[in-house]
This record gives sequence, structure tokens and C-alpha cells, in this order.
Amino acid sequence: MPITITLHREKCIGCAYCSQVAGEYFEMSSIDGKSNLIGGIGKKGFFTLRSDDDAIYPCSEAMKNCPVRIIKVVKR
Amino acid sequence: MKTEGKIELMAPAGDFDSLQSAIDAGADSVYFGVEQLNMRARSTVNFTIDDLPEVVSRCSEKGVRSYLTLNTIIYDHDINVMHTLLEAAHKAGVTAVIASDISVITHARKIGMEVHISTQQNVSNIEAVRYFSQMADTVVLARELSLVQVADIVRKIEEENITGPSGRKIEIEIFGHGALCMAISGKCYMSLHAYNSSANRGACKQNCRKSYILTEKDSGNQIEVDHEYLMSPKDLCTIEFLDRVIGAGVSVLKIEGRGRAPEYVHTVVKTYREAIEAYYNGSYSLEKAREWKETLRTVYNRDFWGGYYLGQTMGQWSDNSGSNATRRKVYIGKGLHFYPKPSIGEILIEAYDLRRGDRIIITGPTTGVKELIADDFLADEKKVDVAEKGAHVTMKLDFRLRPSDRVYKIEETEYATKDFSSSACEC
Repeated sequence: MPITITLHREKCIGCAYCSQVAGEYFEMSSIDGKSNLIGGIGKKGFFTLRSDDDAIYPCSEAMKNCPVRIIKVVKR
Repeated sequence: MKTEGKIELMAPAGDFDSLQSAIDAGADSVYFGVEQLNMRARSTVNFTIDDLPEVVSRCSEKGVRSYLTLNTIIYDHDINVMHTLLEAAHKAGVTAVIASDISVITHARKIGMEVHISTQQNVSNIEAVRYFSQMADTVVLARELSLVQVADIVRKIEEENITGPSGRKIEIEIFGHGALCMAISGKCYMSLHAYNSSANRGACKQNCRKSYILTEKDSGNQIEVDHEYLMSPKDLCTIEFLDRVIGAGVSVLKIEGRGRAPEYVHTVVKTYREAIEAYYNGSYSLEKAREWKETLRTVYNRDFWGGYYLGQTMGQWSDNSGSNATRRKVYIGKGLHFYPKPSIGEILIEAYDLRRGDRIIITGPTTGVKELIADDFLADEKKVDVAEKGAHVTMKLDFRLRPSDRVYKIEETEYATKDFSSSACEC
């Protein structure tokens, strides 16, 4: 089942945990130090990526690790 | 504005409301975070780079110094944004940066920006001050020093004439009021361990403020302690020994609280301003200090103690997880319109009601904090004693009301009648 990953980027504090547990999906921007959802499409500050369910484990870890709870992973 | 020779009163600014409140209440300087690289990244909104010119302009208009707080742990991916922030702040005319990481200090020096060493560096001795004098003009000492130790450091700076890059003698800054951390100089990893939310990246979840039961694992026995808030110190308050703080030669007195509401900033800054002025005009007294302390109790606090400054043994712990403030604010409405000629403000009551004689505060990003008694108002153009939800209230104001302003009713809490005499700091 495909999944959708969302990142509310402007609230990111740049702790980098997401990029450490899910480096295939998140990387830290060298411009503003915040997380980028790789391949994500941005709309009104939220970045969204549709992916296959291989992403579930690392992205759920990123979601759990995020101290400001700006990462969401849903099955759909 | 700072007067030469007087201690500088430094206030926290988490947003424009607090910034304005601090300036209006008489702060000599303000400190604030921009974007994410500061110790309140999670708990406050923080300013953006685009806000910097406005922040500096409001400060410089009143001769108030402005300090950018950029004092978290810095990782490789933060370097560019850190450079951008420092350069933007310097260009905007921010007075100095409060820094702890060497990368921040080095870049600030490279671009010619004044550096203040953050308490995160845990500076506790003259040798460390001497070292940092190569790159900084002000050093914030560790909060765990006693006033005797602080005075010794200041005396040695004088004797050795230790100067910073500006050529001025190194100034010593200490925390004067606000929350204390259970870990030395805020270097705590408890929030990180429990919630993966690092205090040292400005994301402290304050698990130390909760209640705990201490159990000895081998026996399963619960260790008897006199309270459940094992790790939550009371808040620091130096108002009752401010004469000794100033007497120790401290140059800057910092108020903690970038996560606090504007009325907190206003009340605390105004109270310390009065106390500082009283010290210099010779009218400072313990009786007055006790009255000021009661005023400080009206806003957020976990009860007070004198921290480590007086060298007393530890043991001043909070007895609940929230505030002991004697007053609380209840949202009742927002500003709608201001008629400048008759100086009348129109307020929309959106919750609860407004009663004749209610004490209210009006806060906003430009207004700051204004407190008044609503003893003369009209509701929908009629003279009434109670303006219900939905009513348009008009009243005479001696300041400009703005649509961005929020209106709160001030109520007393259960702490208003509590006797705090047994918990006075032993000074």
C-alpha cells in the first residue's frame, strides 16, 4: 500500500534526527539548516511525498524521533 | 536606555508583544532568538530574519541595546544558516550576539560583531574569563556561582584590567530572575533521553518539572522525600538582595523568560527597574523589596528562592508542575477600532464578559502591555454594568488600541491568599 509522508518544514528546528534515521527520505539543507523531504512537493509550508511502503519503517522512525512533531506518515 | 555606571537590566523578548513590553517597562537591553538556533527554538515563535530591522529600530529609538541569542549546539548543516543569521543581525545593527559555540564566536569576530559568552559556556573562574576576553566583551557567568565567587571574578577583572576586543573592561552578566534548571548551566540531556527532544537545541520538554516517585530498585522501597517534584527548582528571584548583586560589581542583570507572556516581561522588568533605581537613589530597603516580591508573584512563577548566589544549601524545590502566580489572565476579546480624536477604543467581547470595575490588560505586538480598570465603558452604546459576549464595548483609553490587540480580564488565583512567608529566601 502506498504511503504519504508530510513535513511541516517551517517549524523544523534542524535537529537532524530525521535525516539520520531516514537518510533516503530526509536531508538537511545547507542553506537554512532545516530538513528537506527529498522529492517532496511543497504547498503552503507543507511538503508531501507519496512513496511505496518501503518508506514506512524509516519514515515512521523519523516521525517518532522528531522533537517538534512536524513529520506525519499515513497509509494511503 | 543604559546609564553609565548603573547595572544594565536585560529583558527577554520572545515576540514583538514582549519586546515592546520590555522597552516600555524600562529595559536597558533585550535578547531574542531568530529562527531555530537558540535555546527556545521549540517553545516560542521566535523572530525571523526579516523582523531584524524592525526589532533593532524599536530598540534603537529608545536607546535599548539588542542581543541576538545564538547559543545552541551547532552542527555542520547549521553553519550556513548561522553565518546568514549573524551577518543579517550585524547588518541590521544588532548590538551583539550571545554565543556559546566556537564556530559562532569565530564568525561573529570575523565580521566584526560584538560577542557575549552565553551561560551555556559555564564560565566559573577568572582563567576562563581571561580566555574569553580574547573574543568577547561580556561574559555571562554560570548560574551556580555564589555572589562571593562572582565578586572575586569582578575584582580580578578590575585588578588585571582584563579587556575585550572593544578595549573596554570585560563586563560580567548574571541571571537575576526566572526559571532555574536542575542541570548545571542548562546542560541537560534528560529531555533528549526521554523524548528525543534536545534542550541543547532549544527543544527542552521540561520533564524535570513533573512529579516523580523515587524507588530503590533492590528493595522496591520508595525513598521518602518531602515533595514529588524532585528535579524542579523554584524560580530565581534576586529582588531581596539586589543591593548585594549590584555590590558584587555585576554589570548586567538578565531576566530569564523568552517563553513567557508579555505581561510577565512587563511586570518583572518594571519591578526590577524600580528596585535598581531605588538602589542608586538610596531608597532601596528590605520592606520595599518584599513589596516588589509580591508584585513579582502576580505573574508566572514556581515560587521563589535566591538560587545559589547566597551559598545556601540546595533544597528549594517547587511543589507543583505549574505556576504559583497570584493572578491569571482570561481572554475576553480583541481590539476592533480606535477613534483617535476622542481617544476611544472599541473592543469586541468574544468570551466570558466584561464587568464594571474589572482589571484588564490589553496586549499586542505594537501596544506591548497596558493595564487598566474598566470602570467606565459602554456596551453597544448603552451604559451597563456587564458587557456580555458579542457586545461592542467602547471606552476611553490613553493609548492607541489596534486590531492586533487582545484583551484579557485579570483574576486572582488560589495563590493570591496563600501565605508565602515560610518560603521566603533566607537572605
